[in-house]
Amino acid sequence: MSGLVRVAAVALLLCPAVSLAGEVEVGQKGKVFSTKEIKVKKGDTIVFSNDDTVAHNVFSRSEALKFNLKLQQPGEKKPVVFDQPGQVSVRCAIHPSMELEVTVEE
Amino acid sequence: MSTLGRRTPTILNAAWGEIFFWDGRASSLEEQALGPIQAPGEMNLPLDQMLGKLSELPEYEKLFQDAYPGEGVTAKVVAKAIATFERGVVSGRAPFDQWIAGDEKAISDSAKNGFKLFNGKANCNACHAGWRFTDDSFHDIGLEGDDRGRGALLDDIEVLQYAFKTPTLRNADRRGPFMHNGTEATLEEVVAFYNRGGDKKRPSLSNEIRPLSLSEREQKDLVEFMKTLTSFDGPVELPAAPR
Repeated sequence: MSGLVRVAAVALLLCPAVSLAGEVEVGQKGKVFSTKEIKVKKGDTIVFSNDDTVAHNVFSRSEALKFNLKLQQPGEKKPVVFDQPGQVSVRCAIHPSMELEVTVEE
Repeated sequence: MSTLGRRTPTILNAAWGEIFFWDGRASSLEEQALGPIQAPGEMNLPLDQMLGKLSELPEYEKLFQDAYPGEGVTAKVVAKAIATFERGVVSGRAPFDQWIAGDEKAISDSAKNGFKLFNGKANCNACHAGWRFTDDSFHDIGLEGDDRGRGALLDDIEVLQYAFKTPTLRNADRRGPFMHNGTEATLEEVVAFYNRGGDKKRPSLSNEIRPLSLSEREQKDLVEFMKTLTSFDGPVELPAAPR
């Protein structure tokens, strides 16, 4: 272990209250999300990646998090920070076959 | 008698539907089934009155008891019964299916070229995808009119303004006139509409809609292809209801 990494590891151990926000990518190929359900921690980011051949419009109207990524062309990636615990139902406005349930944990 | 603002959507292959009505306001066939019964412009029949009418026909009580033992004759059970009937309305084998199965003589060369265009230059399969030839997606395709479609339900989402559900193309040549408002009388007119990239250019216009530069020949080929999606089976036989 290099000195720098060791220092960083010790720093993390000394600061248990600090949690590093994670990031996970969700694809949209074939007019479906690459997963139907996902669990993330509060503060984590989901990057919605349009790896499909058609445009999508990902959004949520859940109480825990409302957002609208608007029109997302093939190849575009858009991040969303899930900053409140709870259940978030994510849909594509254009394609009702796209359903994703996000559980945001404390 | 008044005319409804939207054409009646087909129930053909609705068993596989993702979402129902032109604007997708029902998430199941059961939910959909009770809508037209109550709609003022359609049957205009409150559900309690509907149940009253059914109770006047004692045969129904036995039929419901046989089909849904112990559940009684309620609006919920009526919805289940109608939805179950609708799920049985399925298109049969069509010339296109025979061709896909390997019979080269099942469809004409014009139709074969139409299928290539459908999946290529004409971009139809961006939405009319899968064996039902729809992905149940919502688009503003550039039709004239003030009906906001799904946009009236989700008014903050731009792409849903003036957007309607993509209909199946199975047996389409039996169902004219076309589009949610019936503005295109024939399949030829439908193809010409898409070829010019629609009529009304709003901010919500689907980015799948654009002028296609299809020749007269290519437009004819597309129509020939769509006609091969019509199944050999005859009309659905309506069940004899007690009267």
